[in-house]
Amino acid sequence: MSRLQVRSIAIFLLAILSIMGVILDQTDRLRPVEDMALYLISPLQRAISRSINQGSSFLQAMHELGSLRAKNEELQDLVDRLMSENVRLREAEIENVTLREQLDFKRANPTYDLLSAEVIGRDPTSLLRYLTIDRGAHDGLTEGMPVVTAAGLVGQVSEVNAHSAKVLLVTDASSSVSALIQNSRATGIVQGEIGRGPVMRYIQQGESVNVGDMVLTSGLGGNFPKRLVIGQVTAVRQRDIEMFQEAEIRPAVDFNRLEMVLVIIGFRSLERANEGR
Amino acid sequence: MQSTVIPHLAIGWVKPDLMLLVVISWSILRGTREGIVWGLVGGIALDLLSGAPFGVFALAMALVSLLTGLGEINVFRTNVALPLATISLATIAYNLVSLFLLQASGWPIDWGDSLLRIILPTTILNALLMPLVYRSLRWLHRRTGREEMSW
Repeated sequence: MSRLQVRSIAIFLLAILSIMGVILDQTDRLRPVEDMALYLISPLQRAISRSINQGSSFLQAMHELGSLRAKNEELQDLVDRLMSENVRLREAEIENVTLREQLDFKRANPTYDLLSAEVIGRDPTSLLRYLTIDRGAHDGLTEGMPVVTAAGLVGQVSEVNAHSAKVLLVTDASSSVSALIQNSRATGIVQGEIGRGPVMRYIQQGESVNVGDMVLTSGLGGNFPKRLVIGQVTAVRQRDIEMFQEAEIRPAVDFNRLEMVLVIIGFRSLERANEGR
Repeated sequence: MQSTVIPHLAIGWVKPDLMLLVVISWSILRGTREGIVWGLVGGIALDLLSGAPFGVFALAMALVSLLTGLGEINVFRTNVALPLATISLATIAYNLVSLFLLQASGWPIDWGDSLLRIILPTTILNALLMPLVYRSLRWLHRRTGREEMSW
């Protein structure tokens, strides 16, 4: 048989099979064969379908990655701006609280002429206790002016430049402030000590000094106004063989956190007043 | 930085002496002449910012850097023990000289308290920071200074 004849017979047989398939399908007789074929083909179908789906998801993700990255950067910028804004608002809130305290202090002491100043530096050595503030001679400052906060006495202006000044703190070893115990009215001198808090000295034996007593400026000597809070007694050193008692004091002001102070510019110490004559 | 940033690193009353660390490190690396110059410059800067009488820290810094600079001839300059030992001794000497000058200027000084509460803790702090400061300046010294022999 020639090739042409074989091909013709094959086509004829396939045609007969197709017609028979249509007839059998109509009568539902082809179902077992279909089931068998699908049973064999469906796992392959499933595997190919899954791969296609995964591939499609991957391509989709790659496509979205670019836009997600841009979105992420945009959101990060927003977070950064909001955090910065939050910090700024928090600072404004803290400044508001400090200024309110200063205003309250001003209202409680209407006779004082007060000038607000910012602390811009601290003594660079551990041996001394000074602050540098951003007010100077151009703002009307002179040496000897007391420096306070709403909490209490900070110290005294010791050196004045054109636009800045140095403040000797009450905790410095060279600082001396005439003081009294609020309850008993016992008088003494508050002096700073290196490495620890100030101490009130030269308190007469027999005077009542107790832990927790408030210590105020007495105004004696004329270097500080009266009744400025210095601190609170934390310990009493009393020995019968000594002429005087001493009291350790915790300052009312937290010097480590000091950011703004008030200078009593209307007050002129007696020492400066005498020098001016 | 010493009057604005360093106070925030203070532990109680004690803060590291950044200026002293820099001056002493430079004196070890570059010798007496440069040591004194930078000691005076650093000390004057401290005097301007401090409430102490002008010249106290300049003198103390210059004296200590002069003594330190004599160690430049030491061939063991790259040894870590030399800077540590030097800064410890220099811190004690610098603070003692400063206190002496302050007392001479009329400051009431309690030597015992000053030694225990300020000088010794500062010495420890400075010694802890010295490796960092010294290495940084040694890098700078190599970039800008004379070449050293290497073995």
